[in-house]
Amino acid sequence: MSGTLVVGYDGRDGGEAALDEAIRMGRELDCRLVLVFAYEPAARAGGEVADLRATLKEMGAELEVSAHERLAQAGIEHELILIDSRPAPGLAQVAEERDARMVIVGGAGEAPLKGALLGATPHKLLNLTDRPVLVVRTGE
Amino acid sequence: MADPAVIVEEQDKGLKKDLGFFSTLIIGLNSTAPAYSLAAVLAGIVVAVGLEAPASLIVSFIPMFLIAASFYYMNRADPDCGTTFTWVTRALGPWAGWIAGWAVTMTGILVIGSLADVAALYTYSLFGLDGLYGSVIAVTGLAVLFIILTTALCVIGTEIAANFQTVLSAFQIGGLLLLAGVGLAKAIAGDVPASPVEIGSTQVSLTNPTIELSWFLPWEIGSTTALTAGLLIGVFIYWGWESSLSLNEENEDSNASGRAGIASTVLLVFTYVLVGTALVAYAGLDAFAAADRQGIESAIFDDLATPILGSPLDKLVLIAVLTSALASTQTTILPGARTTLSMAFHKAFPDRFGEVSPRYFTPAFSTIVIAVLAIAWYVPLNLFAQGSLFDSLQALSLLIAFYYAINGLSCFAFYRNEILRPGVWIPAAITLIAAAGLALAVGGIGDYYDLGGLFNALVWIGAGLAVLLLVTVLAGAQSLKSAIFIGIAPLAGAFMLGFVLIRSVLDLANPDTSSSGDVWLGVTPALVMGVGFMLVGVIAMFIWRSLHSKPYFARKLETVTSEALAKAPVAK
Repeated sequence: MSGTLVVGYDGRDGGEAALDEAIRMGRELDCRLVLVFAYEPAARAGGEVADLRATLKEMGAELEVSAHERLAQAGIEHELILIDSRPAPGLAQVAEERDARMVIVGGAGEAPLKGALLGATPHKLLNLTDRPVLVVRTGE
Repeated sequence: MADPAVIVEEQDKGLKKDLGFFSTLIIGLNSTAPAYSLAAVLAGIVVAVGLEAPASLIVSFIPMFLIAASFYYMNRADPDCGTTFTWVTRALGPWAGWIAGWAVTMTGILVIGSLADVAALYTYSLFGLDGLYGSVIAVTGLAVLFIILTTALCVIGTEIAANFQTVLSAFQIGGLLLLAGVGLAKAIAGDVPASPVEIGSTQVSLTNPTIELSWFLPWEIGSTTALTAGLLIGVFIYWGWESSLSLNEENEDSNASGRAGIASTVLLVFTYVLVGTALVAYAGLDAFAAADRQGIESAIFDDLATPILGSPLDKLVLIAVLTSALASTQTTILPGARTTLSMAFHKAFPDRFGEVSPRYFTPAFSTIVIAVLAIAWYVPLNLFAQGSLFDSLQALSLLIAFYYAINGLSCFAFYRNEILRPGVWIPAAITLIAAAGLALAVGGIGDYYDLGGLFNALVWIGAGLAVLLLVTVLAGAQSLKSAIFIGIAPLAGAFMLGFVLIRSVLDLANPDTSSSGDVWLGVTPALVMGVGFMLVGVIAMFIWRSLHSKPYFARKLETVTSEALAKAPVAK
C-alpha cells in the first residue's frame, strides 16, 4: 500500500465518475480509497434542520453501502465516511487526517454559471486543501 | 446486504467553528430582510397607528425578543432538537406540534406572493417601466416568474455565497440608513416639495409634520386597537430575526453569537425607527394613506426615495428593497419545506414530503408543493382582490404570532424541571396561568367592550407578569438566570403574542378595520385568511389522525434530557 486517495462520493453522475476513476487509480498506484459523503444541509438557517440532516445521512449511508459492495468485489481496500459538514470542507478535512495523496471529485452537474455565482465543490476545494485535486468530468 | 458497520461516522473535530460575530450578524439581518419588510408594511403601520408609528416599531420588538430567548435556549441545550414543530411536539404533545408545524408551513404560502409582488413592482420601477408598473397582469406575471426562479434556487439547494450575503446586508442597511438620514435632515429643514408628489397613481401633498417626543411613546398611541394593529404587523417585520440565535453552536462559548444577536437587534430596531420617523416626518400621514388605499403599500418607499435622494441615488433604495425581497425567499420557503419534511419524517405527514432529491439533496418535493400552492394563492388574490396583499401579511402575522406563542410555551414546558425544583412547578404554573388569564380577560376583552382605557391591557399583563416572576422565584427557582431566560421570558413573550393574537382576531372581526376596505364573509379578509388557513389545518390534522394514529399521535410528552443538559448547561 502506498497511500490513500480520498473520493467525494454522492451517488450522482459526477460521484460515480469520480469513483470509477478512483478505482482505476487505486489499482495502478496501489492506494486504498476513502469514500466521503458530506451530509450537512446547504443553508443552516431555515427552520427544521435536524431531520433533514438525519435524512441526508441515511441516504449517504445507503449510497456508501452500495459502493462498498462494488469496491469489495473489485478487491480494493477502502474506508467509508459520513461527515457532518459541507462537501468541500469535509473532503479537505478527511484528506488532511488521512494524509491523502490526492482528492478525487466529480466535476459534472455543476453548471458553469451556478459554479461561478454560488461556488462549485471542486472550485471551493482547491481553496481549502493544499493536496492535489483531481476533477473527473462525466461523459459529454 | 453489506454490513453498514463498515461506515465510519466522522464527528467533525474543530471543523465547524463558532460562526463568529460578523457572520451571525449578517445571517440575522438577511433572515429578517429589513428593507423588504419595512417597504411592504410601513404604510400599513402608519395608517393603523398614526404619527406614533415609531413607538409601535419599538414596542413590537419586545415580544419578539422574549420569544427569541426561547429559540436560543432550546437550541443551546439541545442543538439537534429542531425548531418549532419538533420542539412543540416534544414539549406539548403531537396535537399542538402538528398544528404549529402547519402554521409554519402556511406562512411560506402566504408570504411568497407578497414578496415576489414587491420585487416585481420594484423591478419595473427601477427600469422606469411605468406602463408595466401600473399593469396588474404584468406585475403578477413577473412575480410568478420570480417565485419560480427563487424556488428553483431553493431546490438546487445552493446557499448564496457568504460574501454576496454580506454585500446584500450592507446594501439593505446602507440603503435604508441613507434614505432615513437624508429624509430626516430634509424633514427637519423643511426641504419638502411644495407641489404634490405622485404616490402610486395619485397626487398627494406632503405635509411635513414636526417631529414630537410623543411619536416614540407607546402610551401616546390612540387606542388599544391601533396599538394591537401595530404590534401584529411588528411581528412580521421582526420575523426571522431569531434564526441567527438558533444556529447550532459547536463551542460552548456562545459569546460571539450572543453579541451578534444583540448587535443585530440594536441595528434593526434603530434602522426601523429611524426610517419610520424620517418618512413620516417628511411626508405626513396622507401619503401613507394614499399608498395604503391603492393597495400598493410598498410604493411609499419607491415614491418618496425620488424627492428625498434625487436621481440616481434613489435607485439604491430600489435595489436594496428588490434584492432584499428576492434574497429572503430562501428564508421564507426553507422553513416551510423543512417543516413538512420533518413532519413526514415523524410520520405526521405523507411520506412523499419526507423525500430528499437524490440530485440536489434538498426536500425538492416539499419545496415545489409549497411554491405551487403559493402561486395558486397569490395569482387569483392579486388579480381578483387587488389590494389584499397587505391583508395577507396581516393574516401571516396571525399565524406567526400563533406559532411563536406556542413555541414560547413549549420552551417553558420543556425546561420546567430545570427552572423550578421538582414539585413546585405545578402550583406555580397554575398561578401563572391564572394571572395571565386574568390579565388577558380584563385587559383584552374588557377594553374591547370599552370598559377601560388604553392602559388596561398593558397594566394587567404587567401585573400578571410581576406575579408570575414573584411566584416563580419565591416558589423555588433553581437559578435566577434560568428562571428568567427559559421560564419567564418565553412565557411573557407567549402571553404578549397571545394577547396580540386574541385582540387582533377580535379587532379584525370588525370589517371597519379592513386595510384594503374589502369585506369577506362580514369580517376583514385578513381574519378570513388567517382563520381559514388554520381551519384547513385542523381538518387535515383530524383526517391524518384518523388514518394514521400511530406512531406520531401516540407520542408522549418529553422534557429536556439530562444528557442534553450536561452538554450545555442552561445557566452557569
